[in-house]
Amino acid sequence: MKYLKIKIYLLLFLAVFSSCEKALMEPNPETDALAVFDEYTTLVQEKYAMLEFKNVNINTLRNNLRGKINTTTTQKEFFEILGEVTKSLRDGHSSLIEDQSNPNGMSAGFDLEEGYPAGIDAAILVNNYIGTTVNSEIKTLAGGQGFRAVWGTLPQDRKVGYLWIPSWNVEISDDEIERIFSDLKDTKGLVFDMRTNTGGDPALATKFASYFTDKSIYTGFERFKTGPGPKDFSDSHITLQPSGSANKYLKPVMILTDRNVYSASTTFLYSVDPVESIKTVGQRTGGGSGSVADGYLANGWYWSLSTSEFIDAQGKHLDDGVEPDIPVVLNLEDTAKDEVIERAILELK
Amino acid sequence: MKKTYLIVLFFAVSLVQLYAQKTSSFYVDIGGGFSSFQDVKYSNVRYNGFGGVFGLGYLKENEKAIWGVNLQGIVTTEKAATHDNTVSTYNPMLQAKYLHRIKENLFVGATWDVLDLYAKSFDGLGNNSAYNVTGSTLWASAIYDYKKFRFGLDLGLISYFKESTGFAFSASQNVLENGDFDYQNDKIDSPFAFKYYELRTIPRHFQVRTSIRYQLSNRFSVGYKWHLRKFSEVKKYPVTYGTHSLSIRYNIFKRTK
Repeated sequence: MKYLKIKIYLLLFLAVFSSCEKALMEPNPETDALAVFDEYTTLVQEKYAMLEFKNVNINTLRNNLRGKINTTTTQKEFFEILGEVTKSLRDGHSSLIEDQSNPNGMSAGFDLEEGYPAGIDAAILVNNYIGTTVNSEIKTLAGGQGFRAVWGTLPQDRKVGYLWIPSWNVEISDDEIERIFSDLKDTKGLVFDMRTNTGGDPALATKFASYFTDKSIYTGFERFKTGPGPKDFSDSHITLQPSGSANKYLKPVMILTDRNVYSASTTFLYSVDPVESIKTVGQRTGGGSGSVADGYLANGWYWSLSTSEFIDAQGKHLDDGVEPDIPVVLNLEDTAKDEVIERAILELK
Repeated sequence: MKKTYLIVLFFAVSLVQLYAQKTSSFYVDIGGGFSSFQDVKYSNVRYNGFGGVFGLGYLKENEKAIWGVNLQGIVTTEKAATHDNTVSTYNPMLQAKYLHRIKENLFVGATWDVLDLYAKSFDGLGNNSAYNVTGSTLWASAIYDYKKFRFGLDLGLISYFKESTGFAFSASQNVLENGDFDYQNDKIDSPFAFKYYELRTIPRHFQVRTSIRYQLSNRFSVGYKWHLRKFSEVKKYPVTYGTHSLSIRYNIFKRTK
């Protein structure tokens, strides 16, 4: 009897309080197609940072697409309608994915390489420049998807250094960065291969950039969306601080670019853009200057959006990519040389 | 000299009276919890789920007061109400409290959450996978004893804290609004970068905590706790979360004089 009373008291207490926070929460959203459509277009309207720069009128787009949704609309058709909103942004950071765990699931985004020739051929690179059979002086940091870093000198000119960071989506310690730049410090110039590097950690890219200057450099500003209104932006002005390392690299540098130079690689590029001894060679970059937010729609579909953009010290918008200082297109039929590397070596002579 | 002696004697006697020991205990809590979360900045979907609770503490009680320290941790896995994605939640907390007895069975005073680290990890997300609220809160507290029951009520007065995620990016809202964002600024990601902490009071930052404990025996008691927090660093986009826990307390030692 005594324990029954205790149980009743406890149950009463639980009943009174267990739903209290829910009374203070917003109701769960609906998951039908129209509700999800409204949720996604509202997210784009409130969070996407470059509607004006990308010339996207979200209200017109919403009105045009919403009428296509009705009770007979299938999931596939609905995804395609929603995907049109994503594609209209022409932004590699902005995507819509039905199910991240299903590689065969539906997805919508922007293809950076569409309409551009290949910027790199791994076989040409390995067989003529960095493979151990042709270059015994090359060093690597294992890890990532193959290597985290490849560096050394080039067999075509042992005074020219070569550094390839295939991705910024890796960890490279301060000691490892010091080792790389220590090994390269006696070269007369550097070919920094950034091709295929679609991004990763912008802080790591910035750390590398800090080795290419001995003074602070104003690089521009990152404009963040800070509220739901169309004018709710705030600018963070960025000044690159030098690494202060004894192994800083102040000699001429040729950065090799292609369309996959994106996101954190764009962070690297705008960080070193004001440095006069640094030039870019290759193809137009992919851009992706902004920072990314992501989440799930009420029906579980994954979304990501650029919620900032970077505008450089000259006022240039970088999100659609930038043309290289020296445009060079790779000739895939000539397997004996990489025209982009060869041009970079020529510039460093 | 005599005056100094009298003052020292006065304080010594006062302290002895204040801490005239009635009961002191060192305890462990173990049990289960249920938590809910909603961050309207990113979605109205609520997350709910179950997990475990662990606690460790020291409590001292005499004719005049109750004081104690408590270290507790709650770990839950929440699932979205409208889809299958999940989030892991970790909430370690270090607390100290002092309550003065104003009636035989009623105490009022304050609780200080010295460190309250509320951290979430959303499965499958990139930049927004990590969410945390780190800080400290001062509470007005009351305890009421009725037979073998002890009821507790805390109302959050002031919170000094940092929310990791702003309106549209995984950096604090004040970092973005003040134009402080910079990839060379390590402090932006640090939960202990006090520069980016905000001091908030009720009602903008609302926190309430209730508890009920039933003394089963000298060694064992069972307790229920509820904690609600609602705040918004971006107007009209509140974050709300709540935790319920039910735990068994075992007094490793309990001395009564």
